[in-house]
Amino acid sequence: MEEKKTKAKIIAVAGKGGVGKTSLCSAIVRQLVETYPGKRILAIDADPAIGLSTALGIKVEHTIDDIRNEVIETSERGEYRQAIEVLNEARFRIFDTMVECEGFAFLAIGRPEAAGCYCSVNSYLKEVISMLANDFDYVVIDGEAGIEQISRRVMEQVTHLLLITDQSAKGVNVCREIKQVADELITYEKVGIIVNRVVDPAMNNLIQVEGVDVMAYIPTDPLHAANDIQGKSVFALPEDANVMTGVREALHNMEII
Amino acid sequence: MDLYNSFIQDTEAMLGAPRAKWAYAERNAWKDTGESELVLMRDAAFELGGSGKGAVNFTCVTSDPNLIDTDEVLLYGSDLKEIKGDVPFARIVVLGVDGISGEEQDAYNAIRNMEFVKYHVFPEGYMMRVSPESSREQIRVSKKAVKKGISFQSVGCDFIKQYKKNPQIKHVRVIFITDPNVDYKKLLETANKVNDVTKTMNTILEGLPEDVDCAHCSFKPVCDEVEGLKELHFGKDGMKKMQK
Repeated sequence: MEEKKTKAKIIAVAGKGGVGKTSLCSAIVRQLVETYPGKRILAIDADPAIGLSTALGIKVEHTIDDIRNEVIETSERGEYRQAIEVLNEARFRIFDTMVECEGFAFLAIGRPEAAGCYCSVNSYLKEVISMLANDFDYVVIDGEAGIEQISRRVMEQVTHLLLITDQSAKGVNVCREIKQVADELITYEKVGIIVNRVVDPAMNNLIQVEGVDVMAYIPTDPLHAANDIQGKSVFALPEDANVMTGVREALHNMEII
Repeated sequence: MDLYNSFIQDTEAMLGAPRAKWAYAERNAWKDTGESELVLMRDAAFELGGSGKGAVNFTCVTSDPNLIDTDEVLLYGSDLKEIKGDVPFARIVVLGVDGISGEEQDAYNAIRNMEFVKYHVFPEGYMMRVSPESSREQIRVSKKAVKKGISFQSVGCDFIKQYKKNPQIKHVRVIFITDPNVDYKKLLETANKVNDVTKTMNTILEGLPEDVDCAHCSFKPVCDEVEGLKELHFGKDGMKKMQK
């Protein structure tokens, strides 16, 4: 029987904070847009630190957390809704929240006002990913630093898990932890590592995570640093910048492009 | 089931004669994909009810054959092939039933099930977003669908085809409105009142105490306006006692 919809490739980018996840994630989005101009690409900023929008040159007005809060307000007003209504309301609002740019669409998880726990919004994010996954050909998720979103199965439907580290033992250890938790809780198809901000290539052989191949080593990128400090988006980065070259290599090795 | 009759009558009086009217024929129904379809802005010819313009939908159920005795699609304003940019939009559905039998709670559930059919209509290239909270409905029509000749007649026939799968529904009238001169604010008010009636019904059937003081009840404005709700709450005998 002919399958009605092509299964989306859902690429989650994860790793320790400060290793360049968001920069690489934005470069992945750009590369997919350039490689597949006709495809439907969705970028999700799932990091409450909110950086992907800036990297992609997008102004965010509404977030998934806003929708969640509105849904909570409705239920607190005592208004009973059947599941199908809740689903349609969520869908209505998600498309209001989604920013449609040239070549891709964008959604941000937002930063919950209440300090501390992100569980509820993470759980809502999981539903949103599930709802939208089949509407797009590629979904790229810039994950929160650490293992939280993996352990809470927010990334349950991920097909490609891309771990990012720098040349630090801490960065590599976080990748190990994520891989371990992911093996237990999610059913991804492919996993790989990008070693970012490489200062000394001679140290690369020390970076090893069992069961995960390195997809690319990306040297420290002065072009990216200059682009960033000038507040320019990833789309202004030269094609031969280390970040773009490295991401192309990684996506190729992951058989995504 | 006459709780919604006044809304049907008032709306049709406000709208007057339609620009076009088509009798239902299943063969005219636009292809239904059976599942929701994403139409991105880049693929859309235009939006109905987008860009902050009027965007309303509501459904009224009636057992009065004087209000509906056939299956038809009505249009006020421009048809899909004539629309060049974003326009205001309303879709109103009138469902004719033979009278809903059984317990009152069953009747309520039957009405809700009929209303929910709208969430299962997926005309190809016609992405419908419905907000139950705000009674808004926005549509993105794809360039491909416009090229293929999508029209309100064909979309309306798809709606009727899906509604008629429910054996309790005898007749369906689907009204599409894109005329910028129509009072969409008034239509939205009506949509909200229709929702209030359904919500009030739900509250009554969930067990509002019989000795509740109507003067202090938050549903008083709805019950005062809509004939039949007080009867639903107190029953016919209770109403007689109240009138004495």
